[in-house]
Amino acid sequence: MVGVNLYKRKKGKLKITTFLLLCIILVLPVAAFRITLYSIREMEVNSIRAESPNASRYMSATQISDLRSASQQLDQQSSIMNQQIRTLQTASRDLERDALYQARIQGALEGFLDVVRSHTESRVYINALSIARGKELRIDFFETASDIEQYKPDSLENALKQRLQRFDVRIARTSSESLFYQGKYIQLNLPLTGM
Amino acid sequence: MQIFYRRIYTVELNPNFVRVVLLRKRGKRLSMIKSLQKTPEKGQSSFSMNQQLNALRAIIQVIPVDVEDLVVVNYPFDQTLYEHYTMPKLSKDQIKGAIQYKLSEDFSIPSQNIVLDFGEGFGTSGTSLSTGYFVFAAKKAQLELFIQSLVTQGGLSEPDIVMPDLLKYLEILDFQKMGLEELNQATKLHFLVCVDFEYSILFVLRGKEVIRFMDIPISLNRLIVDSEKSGLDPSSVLEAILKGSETGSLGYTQGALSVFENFYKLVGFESEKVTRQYLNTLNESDPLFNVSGVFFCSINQRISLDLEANARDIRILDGISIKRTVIRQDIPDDLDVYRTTLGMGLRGVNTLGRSEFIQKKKR
Repeated sequence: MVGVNLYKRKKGKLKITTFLLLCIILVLPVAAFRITLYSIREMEVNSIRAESPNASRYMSATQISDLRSASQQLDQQSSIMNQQIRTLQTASRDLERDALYQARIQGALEGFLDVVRSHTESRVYINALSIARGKELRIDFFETASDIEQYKPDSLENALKQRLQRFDVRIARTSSESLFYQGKYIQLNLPLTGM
Repeated sequence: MQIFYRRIYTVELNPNFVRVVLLRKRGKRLSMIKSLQKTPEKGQSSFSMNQQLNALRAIIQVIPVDVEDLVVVNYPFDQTLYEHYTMPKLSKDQIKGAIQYKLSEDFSIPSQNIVLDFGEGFGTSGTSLSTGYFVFAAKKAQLELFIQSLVTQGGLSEPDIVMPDLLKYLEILDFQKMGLEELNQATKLHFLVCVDFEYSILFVLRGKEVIRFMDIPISLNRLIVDSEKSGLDPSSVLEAILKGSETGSLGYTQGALSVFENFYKLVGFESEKVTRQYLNTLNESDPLFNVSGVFFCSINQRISLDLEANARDIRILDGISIKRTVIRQDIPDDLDVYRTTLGMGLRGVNTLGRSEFIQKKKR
């Protein structure tokens, strides 16, 4: 209808309690948003802590304003971690190589000794034994017969070749003339290249 | 704290009664919380302005006004200037300036001494529509004195809305239910006669739009004066009129029937005179052909029905159709006696947004 008002000078008034309540109502959504964000963050942090207990020791709160420095810090930590990983990988490879080296030498020596012990008709006198890592294991020895009737000149040599076949051992008879009766001088080379 | 609801503190000041109705608007739900009315002492039928303000102070002690309440007050009819001007399309400020100038010319009051407000409406030039403005004005000094008296003497807080008293009827009527069409579909005119204590007014309606106001020189005060002349106690007549339902018994038990009938007839005649006066301005061969019907409305349904029945009996405007006014459907029946104050309250409610009474549903 005809919305006439002859007095339009009045200014609206609010009680202080109404004003305060309105302020609270206005602030409430912001506070609720912040609380929700805080709760979500706490839940995420707790789940990370539960999954990675070690990581939690290094976790700390970062202000949004410090994001650039935090990012730099993260990059730094990441490069340190990578360096440590590389060191560990190198150490692991060295250990592996040492273990192979030890196993090769031990296997070859045990094989040699087993064969020598089992051939009772022969006697073996080791003249020299040298190990040069990365090059070779060398055993120079004399073989003589202890029982002339049983002795077969190539038996020990063949047995050694057969036993140490997997180590790629080279066995070479240098000379059959020796100070000993029916003896021979044998040189055994175990290659250790790349170890 | 009025955050989730607003209160509308409505004060109807009148030489015959002072009434406060406190409404509460919660969302779209409206309810009347409190109401109180003060009438003159026994043997008297009217208040002086001082007595009105004292009565208001007494009411405010019972129904305190809150600083956050939307306060609506009526401005006395006899201090309101109202006029209808047809103007070319201009900006609001230009219209205001032009209206101020016209008013100062028409009423010989310097424009700086006038406070005015206007509503855009429709004027008539013959039967065709043109842009018109309903202007309501008051003398600045009188208005300020009125408000100052309300605040200092009456104890009321500064009012938010001071509305011309005659507009209160337009707020309570349900034009849809009264069968009035939209403006562009309306082909005929309706007349709405509103009879109040201090004045009677004729609203000329085209569809749901008011296109003209006209003053009818009779009011309910005439009934009180005539009753007093017939030896009746004016305060009991006033009480009966205010209650509405008591008018019948007062007529039979105290012999006031003829006084009432005579008054209703006078209203009919005076209304007819003013309507004919308006119809004569239409400059048509059969102006009554353009009239669809007449509504009668007063301070309550009983008086309205009596006026309506009398107008039908005396066949005003050559026995034109007398139609029934319908007040807003959501207003509970028992609040009908407060209809004028509720009309003012609804003016305040409308500034806050649409809402409907829920009291009927509660009961």
